[in-house]
Amino acid sequence: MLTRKKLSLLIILLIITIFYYKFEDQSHLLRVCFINVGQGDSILIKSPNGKNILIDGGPDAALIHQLGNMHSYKNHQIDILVLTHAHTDHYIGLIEVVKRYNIKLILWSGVDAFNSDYSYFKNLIKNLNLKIALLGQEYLIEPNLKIKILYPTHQLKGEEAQDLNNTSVSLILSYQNINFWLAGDLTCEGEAEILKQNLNLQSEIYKASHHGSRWSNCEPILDKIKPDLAIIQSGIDNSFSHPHPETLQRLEERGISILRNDQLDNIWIYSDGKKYWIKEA
Amino acid sequence: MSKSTRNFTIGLLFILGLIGANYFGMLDKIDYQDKSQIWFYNSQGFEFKNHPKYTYQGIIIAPPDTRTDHQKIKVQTTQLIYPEKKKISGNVLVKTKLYPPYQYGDQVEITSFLIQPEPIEDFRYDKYLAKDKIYSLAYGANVKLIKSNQANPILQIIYNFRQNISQQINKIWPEPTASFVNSILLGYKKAMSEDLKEEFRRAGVSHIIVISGLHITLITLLLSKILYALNINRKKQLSIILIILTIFAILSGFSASTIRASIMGLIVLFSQNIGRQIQKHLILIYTAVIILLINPLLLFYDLGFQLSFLATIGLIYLSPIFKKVFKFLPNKMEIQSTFISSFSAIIMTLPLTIYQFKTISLLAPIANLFVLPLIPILMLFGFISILASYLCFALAKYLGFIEYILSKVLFEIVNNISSIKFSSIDIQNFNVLTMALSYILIIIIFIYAHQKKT
Repeated sequence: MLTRKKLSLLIILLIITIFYYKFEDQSHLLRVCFINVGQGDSILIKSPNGKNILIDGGPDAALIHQLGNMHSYKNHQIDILVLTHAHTDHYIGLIEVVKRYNIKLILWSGVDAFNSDYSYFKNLIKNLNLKIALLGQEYLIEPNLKIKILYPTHQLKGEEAQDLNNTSVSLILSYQNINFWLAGDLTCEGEAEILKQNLNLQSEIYKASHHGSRWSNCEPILDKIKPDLAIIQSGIDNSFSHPHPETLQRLEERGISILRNDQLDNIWIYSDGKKYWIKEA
Repeated sequence: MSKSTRNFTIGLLFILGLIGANYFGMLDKIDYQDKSQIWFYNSQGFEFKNHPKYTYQGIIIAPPDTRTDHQKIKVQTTQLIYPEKKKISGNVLVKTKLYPPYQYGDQVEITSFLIQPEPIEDFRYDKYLAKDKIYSLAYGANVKLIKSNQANPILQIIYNFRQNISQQINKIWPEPTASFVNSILLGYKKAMSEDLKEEFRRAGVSHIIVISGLHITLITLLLSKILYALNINRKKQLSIILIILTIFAILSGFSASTIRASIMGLIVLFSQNIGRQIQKHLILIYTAVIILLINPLLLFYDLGFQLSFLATIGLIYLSPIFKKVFKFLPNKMEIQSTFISSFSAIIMTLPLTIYQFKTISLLAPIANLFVLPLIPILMLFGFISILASYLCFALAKYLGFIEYILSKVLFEIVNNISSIKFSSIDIQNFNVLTMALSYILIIIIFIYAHQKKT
């Protein structure tokens, strides 16, 4: 029997539902989170109008627990998913994301890795909207917010890669006057390729490539990008001793401030298109 | 001696007998020289460099235990391939990378080290595995799938169904609600993140994320209400509930606490059906004997079994005593009865939990007061949303929002209680002797209180 008490409870629940369903999670700012996934990369970009871009997924399934708290309930969608390259510390976390979220577009280099977990991942995404990223492509996400691809400079699909790091999809995320440099695990060799193109690379925020390895983040590219702020995605006590002291020195010499996921956990950067600021947790 | 006293005594003697048998190591005797068993090939210790690798085939006989960065699969071996080809048997617990995921019933070929299980500090990991008949661990494993669906076809169907439900859950809700619903409805307790599990532990409410008597009772109550409303006669009711409870016990991964609760629930229903009431302590001992006849090692090495029985003992014997102590509590909205039953279960399990986890949660009775009333609603809305998701996903998403908010409320409560500075304190130096003394103390107080009553 439905008593009056139960009925009123039901109505209250219904009202809450309608309310929450209508209004939630709007900020009209660009929000970029460098997610602490341990030793690995993962970056979530939330656009001012509620679009989601995810770059890489870290080395294990822990990312899914982090994403749950960053996404709104209703919006179970990733508009662009970027896999920089086929190393486990970049794609394992994406597997659970691909299984659960509605993915609109996947950007990748198309270069193969030959192991069973990557085959599993490839099999999962084979029917999704896949696109090979290439220098010169631009993806307009919203007015004023776009992704500019800088690497690979030529089609790599089907090629046998000597070093998968040098197949990293590298891009600039640009929101009006604020640019983010996001280049996966690209090494100095790949950086030199980009420099040859003679493009304007100037960016305010620089994600240190390859978790701060000294074989990436070379002086010429730093001098061209001229960032104010570098973010290093590396795990506590990782077995590669990333970031390398030499990289830290290169950044410090140029007066670039450094934020590290292993020291600060998740790092949120907000921007209104004219300036950016670090969101205190 | 009445019949019931006799039966109770026999049951008690059986359990005492098991304790004796275990003391003399009679319950798990393993012949490590038996060449037809996989454990004959075990290496000792974790210096992998010098160990040989073996290749063997087998069938996965339990749903994989999936963690955030690896999975563990229980493989019943059938054939050794390298260094020689021959028939072999015995179970191996294989640690392998997270992907690709394996399934119950997969036939696999594995190349790995084989390591003898050892205790980890205080924890008898070897014995813990022995209760599941595992005497070999595989590390550095390379797993190749040969064929699927090679195990029990009925279990296969149920486990596939379970996995399918779990996928629906993961699509409806974001984390951590998804893993929470997976825990309370499907028994996937390992899906939750370590941080969240730690919060539940500190608040003293981690029992709600393990399917236990609480959940089974709620389901049985709900079922009998539905069946009653449908005007189905009692005999049929019993068999329907029996079937559903059995499926649920399997769905929830066959944990000792689920089986305990299901068997007890069935005995109660059965006794009601034949119109005779069986005393509570008899139901308890019958259930224990039934489970221990199937696997005696659970008594010693399965924490879920131990906690489940201790909590039930607390509910049966201690709650009448605490009823007098906590008379002053308001009797509104079942505050008094919820508090008394949580408190009784907590007191009875406390010595064991302190011994196992080296910590005591001081605010547990209060936390339970807030959290327990939410559980039936969360189970109900979870269930309804999942059901809806098979008909219309948008509807499920809408209904699921209520579950989402309620779970957020629950997490908020748990988080707040667990972050209070003195919500839990660490206790070191609590050994088996202290634990035994604590239980003797509880028994003495019980007898004293009981005598005062009569």
